[in-house]
Order: sequence, then structure tokens, then C-alpha cells
Amino acid sequence: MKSLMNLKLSHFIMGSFVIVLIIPRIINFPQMNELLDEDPYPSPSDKASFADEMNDLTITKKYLPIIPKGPPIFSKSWYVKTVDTQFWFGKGCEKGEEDRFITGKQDSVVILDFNFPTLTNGVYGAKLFSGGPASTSAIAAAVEFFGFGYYTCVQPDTTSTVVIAVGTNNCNQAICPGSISGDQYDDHGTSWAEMVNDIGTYFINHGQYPQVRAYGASDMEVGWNDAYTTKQWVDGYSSSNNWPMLNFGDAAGCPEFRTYTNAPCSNGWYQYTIWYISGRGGLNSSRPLPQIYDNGGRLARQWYSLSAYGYDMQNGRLDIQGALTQSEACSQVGCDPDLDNMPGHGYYQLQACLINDPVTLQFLKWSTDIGYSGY
Amino acid sequence: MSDKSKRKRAYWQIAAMIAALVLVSSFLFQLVLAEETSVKRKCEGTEIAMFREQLTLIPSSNVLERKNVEKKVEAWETMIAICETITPATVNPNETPQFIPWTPAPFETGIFEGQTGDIHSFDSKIENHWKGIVNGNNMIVFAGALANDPSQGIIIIHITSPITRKTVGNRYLSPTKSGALRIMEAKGNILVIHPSAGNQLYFHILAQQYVSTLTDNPPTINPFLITTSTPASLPYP
Repeated sequence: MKSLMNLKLSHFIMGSFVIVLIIPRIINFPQMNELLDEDPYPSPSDKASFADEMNDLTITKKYLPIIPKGPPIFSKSWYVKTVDTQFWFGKGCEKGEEDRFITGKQDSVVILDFNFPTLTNGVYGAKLFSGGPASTSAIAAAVEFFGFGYYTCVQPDTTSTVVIAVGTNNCNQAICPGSISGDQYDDHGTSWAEMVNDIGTYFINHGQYPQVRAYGASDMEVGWNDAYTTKQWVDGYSSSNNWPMLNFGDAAGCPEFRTYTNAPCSNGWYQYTIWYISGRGGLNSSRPLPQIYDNGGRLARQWYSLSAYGYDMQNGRLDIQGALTQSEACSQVGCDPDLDNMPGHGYYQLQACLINDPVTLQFLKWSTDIGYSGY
Repeated sequence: MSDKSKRKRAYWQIAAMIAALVLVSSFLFQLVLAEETSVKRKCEGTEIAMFREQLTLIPSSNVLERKNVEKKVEAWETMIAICETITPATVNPNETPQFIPWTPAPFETGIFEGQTGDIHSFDSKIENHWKGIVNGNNMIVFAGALANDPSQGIIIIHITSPITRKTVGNRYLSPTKSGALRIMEAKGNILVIHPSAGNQLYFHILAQQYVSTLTDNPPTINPFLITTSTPASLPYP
């Protein structure tokens, strides 16, 4: 009886331990958090294992209806005309205030496009859209102040985040006099990556990361340079970057349908080269945030075709981050009336194209619209 | 009540007290643990995940590329460790940051080859551009042709106020489809323009219109009062 009593007692104590240790874990729902963090649409690298799993299945596939989320609130991006730090602190603060006043966590991207790459007195930089060129250190200061302004004005909201995409482009010397020569692209890409690394380190050391992050970016347009030189820049960036990079360029002349081949685009480019500079199936740090300007959806269909090319001919679909439109620039300086998509239109066009085919299915997280910065 | 049952009851009471004590102290311990965990900043983001994913994709035979990415993962592990130890910056709204002064390069004037990076390659192919100061504003006139129709010439104007730094602009298709336009010279307020095939054109920069002779003097316009066409479509259909 005594031993039975002792047994029950020890059981009771052990039971208490178990309950006490487990209950708080259940309250924290770690598994649920993992589920929430999990990407419902895995990246291209998961394709192989997924394909293996699918091969084992002989049952008929049934698709549940996919209900896309509405477009995210679009952010404003800028063609940069100055690296004045006070101005960019103010712009960052404006963005921070916007996010603070919107209920819930905001996650957005702001492209700061500093124009074509330059080399002035042995220092790399970018031309700016007025008053330039500016060195990478002056550009870094402007971006850091934008981030500082955002961080200052978004408080007490500690959950909203912004990615500042520090952009240049691939406009060559013949089209954009003052740009770097073809053999300097690799070096410029490396120094751009080092500049972005410095900015990222600044945000970490000042306690602003992960609310504020800096990515590299480039408006890589098919008509502005050859594929080889543009690839050189991406390789240069990828050689020393600690932060991702966004390709906010175009896919001019590429097909608008699934090709099952490496189809040609304009200016001697192929789908392969655009796929390469847009992430190389996850092998480099570039991700596309393409220009979706065309009212008729042509540009969206070209990027769908590229994503399908990645699936059919390479190691997986593109990991497209969102859609870029230029309605603000169009309202400022005018543009081709067929290329003035509003942010929601651009986002929907691209999303609709990607969602229509299971091989390119993904949800876009960002929508941004570019215009000329004041000052 | 017998001694035996009294003793049994005492045992149970002690056991219940111990269990209650354990229960309460363990709960408190867990709460403290949870508190500590929540205080620790979440610094591991998508960036390190991207590099780890790259590592899984790079074949083991590509030693150089793997080494490069491994270095990036290591750098990120260090950065995450630093991030986790740093207290989020507190903001003093009354504190004015130390801004870094910057002097822009002066606005160059004249006729220049190519463009300035403002015109998308799929929009128009620009031959050259003229830069001048007109009524105190910085004006750039680009000349070329539409990218999707090289026979259609185009003039694109960007004007920036040096005071407000606002930029406005407009676009003017050539009256006839006679190829890409090129600015030859500026004569007063008129630009002399040659299409690649066809007759010489004149463009009045103050009136922002094509004119037939160098002596034409149409009414000038205030560029900052021009309302460019705004898209009729709603942002979110």
C-alpha cells in the first residue's frame, strides 16, 4: 500500500512536471509559428524534391481554388536627383509616418534609382538624374539617412519593415555618355555590393536592422547594353555581396507565352541571360522586381514566359518579388500613353499571369511606383 | 481516526504541497524563460536563408563558388550575433541629425550625344539632347524616335525648377513619320532639327511646339502650369 501510495505520489509529481513544462510550450505554439513562417509556395530549389514526391503519387491531382490576396499597399520609389542627406532623411521619415499610420505590419520596398554607373577620379558611383555624379560613399550616406529617417518616424511601430533598394542601371557609354566602359562593369558591381554591405552593416550596428534593410538593385534593360556586359555587373555584385539584389529592368522582345525553349529577346539577348541576371535559379543573389508598365499586359506576360522558362529549361521558376510601375513619373514628365499602368494594375497583371499556370504560381509581395524625387 | 489513516492523510497533504510548489515554481520558471526568449531580438531573416539555399544549389564540384557563399553565411552568422546583442536604437525626436552637406555639379548647357538615363530603352531611342536654362529653369530637350516605331520622330522635354527641384515634362511626336530626330543647333529660342529622312524641322522651346520658320513667335507657355495627362484608370480595379 505504501509503495502504491509512493508510486501515485511520484506519478503525480512527474505528471505535474510534464503539464507544467508542456503547457507553456503549447501556449507559445512553436509548431504553429513554423507553419506560419513556411512559404506555401516553395522556392525553385525545392522543385527537385517536390518533383520526386509527385513521381511517387499515382492519384489524380486535384487543385483547390486559389484565392489571391489583394495587392499590397504600393510604396513610392524614386529617380534620385540629389544625395543631400537632409532631403533623404525627410523622405525616409515620410515613408515611416505612412507605415506608422497604416494599421498592422507593413512590408515594402523603396527603390532609390541613382542612374547609370560612373567612374570619376578613380571612384565608382552613379550619375544621378540631376547634379551628379555622386560617389558610392555619398550614395551610402543618402541611403543611411533615408533608413534613419524611416526608423525615426515609424516608431513606436516596431514591426513594419522597409527594404531600400539602392539602384543603378546598365546604360552603356554609347547611349548614356559618361557611363563606365564595358570592362569596368565587373568592378563596379563589386564596389556597388561593398557599398550595400557598408549600408547594411550601418543599419545593423545602429539597431535599425531588421526594420530597415538595404539591397542592391539595377534597372537592367535589354536595349541599354549587351547581355555579356550586364552579366559581368551581376557577377561582380555576386562576388562580394552580403545582401540580395533586385533586377528592376525589362524583358524587351521576349516571348509572351510558354516557349519550352531558350527564346530570343531584343538586342541579342535570350531568355537565358535575363533568367541569369534575375537570380540564376537561386544561384546568385539577384531577384526580379520587373517593370510592368504596359496597359495591355505585354510586359507581365514576358515575365511569366521567363519564369516558365526557368521551370522548363533550368532549375525552377523565377522568384519574382513584385511589380514596378511608373505612373508617378508619367504624371510628372509624361510618357507613352500605353506605358502608364497604375500600381494596382501592374501588380494584378503580373499576379494574374503567374497564378494562371501551376509552374509559375507564386504570390508577389511588393508593389512600388517610381517617380522623380524633388530637390 | 486511526494513526495509520492520519499518517496517510499527512503524506497526501505533504505530497500535494510539494506538487503545488513544484507546479508554481516551474510555471514561474517557464514564464521567466519565455520572457527572456521574447526579449532576444529576432535577427535571422531572409538574407542568410538565401545564402544557405544557394549552398544547397551549388554542386560540390564547384569549390570556389561554394567557398564564396560559405564566407557570406559566416559573415551573416557574425552579423546576426551582433544584431542580437544590440539594443534597438531609441529615437529622440528633438535631436537633429548631423547632416552631410553635398554640392551638386553645375548644370551644363549645350548639345550632347545620347541621353541622360531618363528615357527607357523600350520607350524611345534618343539620338542627342540639348540642355539650357530657360526662364531660370533647367531644360533638357531629347530628340530621337519611338523604340517600337523608328519612323516616328519624337521630342521629349524635361524641365526642372532650381528652386523647388520639381521636374515636369512633355512629349511631342514629329508632324510626319520621317525617322529619328536629331538636334543640329539652337538659334535663339528655336532648335533646328533634322529627321533622318525628310525636311528640316524647327522646335520652339518656350512655346513647346513645332514651328515652320525661324521667325515664328508663338505664345510662350509656363511649363509648370502644363497638366500632363493623368491615367483615367483607378489604382485598384
